[in-house]
Amino acid sequence: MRSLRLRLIAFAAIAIAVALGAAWHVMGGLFEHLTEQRLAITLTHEGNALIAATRLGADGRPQVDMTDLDARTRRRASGLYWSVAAPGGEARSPSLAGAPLSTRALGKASTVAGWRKSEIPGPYETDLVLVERVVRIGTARVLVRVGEDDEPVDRARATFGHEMGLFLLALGVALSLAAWLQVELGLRPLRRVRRELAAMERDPAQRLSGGHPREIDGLIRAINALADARSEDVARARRRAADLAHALKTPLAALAAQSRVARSAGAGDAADAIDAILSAAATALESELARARAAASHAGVGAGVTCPAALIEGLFAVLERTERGMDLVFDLDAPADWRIAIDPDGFAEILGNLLDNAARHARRMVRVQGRLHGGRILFSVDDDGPGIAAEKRADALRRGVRLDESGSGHGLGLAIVADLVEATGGAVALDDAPQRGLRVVLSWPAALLRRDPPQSHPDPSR
Amino acid sequence: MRALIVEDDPSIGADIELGLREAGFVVDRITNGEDAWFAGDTEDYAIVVLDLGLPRLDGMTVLRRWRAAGRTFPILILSARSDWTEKVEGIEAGADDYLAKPFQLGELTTRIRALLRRAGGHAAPLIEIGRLQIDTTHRRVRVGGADVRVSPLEFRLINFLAHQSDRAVATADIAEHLYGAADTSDANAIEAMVMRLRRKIGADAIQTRRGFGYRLTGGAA
Repeated sequence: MRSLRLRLIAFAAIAIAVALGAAWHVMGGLFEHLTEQRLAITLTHEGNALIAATRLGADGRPQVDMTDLDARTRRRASGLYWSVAAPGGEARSPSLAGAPLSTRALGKASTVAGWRKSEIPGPYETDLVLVERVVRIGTARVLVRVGEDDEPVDRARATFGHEMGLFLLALGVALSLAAWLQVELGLRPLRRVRRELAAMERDPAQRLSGGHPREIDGLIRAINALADARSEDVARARRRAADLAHALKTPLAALAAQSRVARSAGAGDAADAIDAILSAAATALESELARARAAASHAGVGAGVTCPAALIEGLFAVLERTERGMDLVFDLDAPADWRIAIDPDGFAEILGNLLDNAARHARRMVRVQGRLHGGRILFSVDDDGPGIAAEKRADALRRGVRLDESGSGHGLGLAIVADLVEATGGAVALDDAPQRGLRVVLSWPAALLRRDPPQSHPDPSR
Repeated sequence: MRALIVEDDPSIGADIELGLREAGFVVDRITNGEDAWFAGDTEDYAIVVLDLGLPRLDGMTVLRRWRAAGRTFPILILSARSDWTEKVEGIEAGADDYLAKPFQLGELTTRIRALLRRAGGHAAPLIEIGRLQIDTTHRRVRVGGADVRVSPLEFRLINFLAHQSDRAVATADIAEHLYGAADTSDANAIEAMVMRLRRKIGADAIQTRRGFGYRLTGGAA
């Protein structure tokens, strides 16, 4: 059973059932014992009356004056019986109709008010509760026995058992409900933790809140500490990736310089080969770095909130200074007060690379539009270049396929952009732009949109 | 023309120096940030190539100090890091272009030529129209005394309109001037650019005259 709640509730239900079952059994036994005891006491009273009514005749036979005895003893098979046995003979109640009281005891005997109490098989197929004692009447020792059908005891016990059973059943239901309620209440803090953990998964910068019950407080702190440690690890990995980039790129640049030396010394073919290898190495390095950055941003390094309008204006400013971007119009149509819960560095990588691609292919204009549609945040990047034929678009998003081989090695393929977007929980689709050209549509769940009041941020036009 | 190269890696530095000398520059080469800052603060250069990873004082700080001190020479940043956040940071700190390592020398010289073309001198350095000040030497635009960031293309549009002595210019003429050839689809790009410019320099700074085109008024002074 995987569910803690089911496990707790099932255990409580079993425990309650066992306890109530045992209670039912024990109380039934106790009730029977007390009823029998009470019956036995009544019988001793009848026995004492019997002793008082007994005389020994001259022949030594007991003679009983039945005037003061219970009337039932005179009615045949009435259920109440007695016998008085003296050495000279035995007297029996008329209710016995001449049959003797059995001497075979069923079960253990006990003592009640000086009488020996036991159970014997009765004359008419029912068992009897019997009290007996030996008394001295005159000089003779006389055995006095009084018995009564225990059938009323059995009936009372059955009735008691039935009613008690119903009561205990109701009690069991009430206790089970209480147990369920307790489990629900007890697990509520865990449910809150689960909700907060889910939020943490979406936004790694979040932490579990305080104010939890003392029993799970330590666990919460441990989880938060683990998340902090993980963020720190990723930050370190990211710094290392940047260091690695620096360490590798500077020698690559130096190698490019050597290739130029080789070229000026007349080894043009060798220089071409070196340049080709350098270009491939640089592209591979860029791709891996971009992926590392995206993975890091997904893991929450520097995770935070992006103001897309200001960031995209910043990217425009970079691209407007490039040879290609210099002659292009970059246009942005997105709410300036939007804040999105995506790491700004990751968002910059995605839009930067897309805009770089768009600028490389655009004729006159690159346009970015941001809007909400169907529960998603949509950003479309349009260029008015040649576009990509519909049948080639799937290839463009596949890793390892590069439709544009003429690039300088800076721009990353659409496939890598797709990887970056997926790492932030978004999706990429390709379409036709209104002014021919390619439209790249990025989308993220609208839940990432923050509607905070606009904070002061640098005016993008300044 | 004098060029300053700030690069701590000797072989890359020597390579750039050689390339720029071949292109006709007089080259100063410096290998650390502090010396670079001092040189840029005291000498006038036509172009500066600045590496960001420098000993003693990092390139970004050098760049910010130069701009804070009012140094306006074009600066091209070189960096081993290539993330967009850093590119944006560099441009916002006042750099004019950004090149990630490793690069081809050919690309570097092409970019330097483009920067020099943009920074090229004009006969009438300062044009004032309404609240607008157009600094044609440094290709900058001010509105009511405050600098406004415009793209090179936007600057060319403003500059072109500013030279039309108060007359409205048809979209086709603008396209002809900006792109060298008019095309019906260019109208969209020009309209979008005018809308953007209005957001930056004021809605009334560029008027639309239906049937005639656009006129630069500079807005109410």
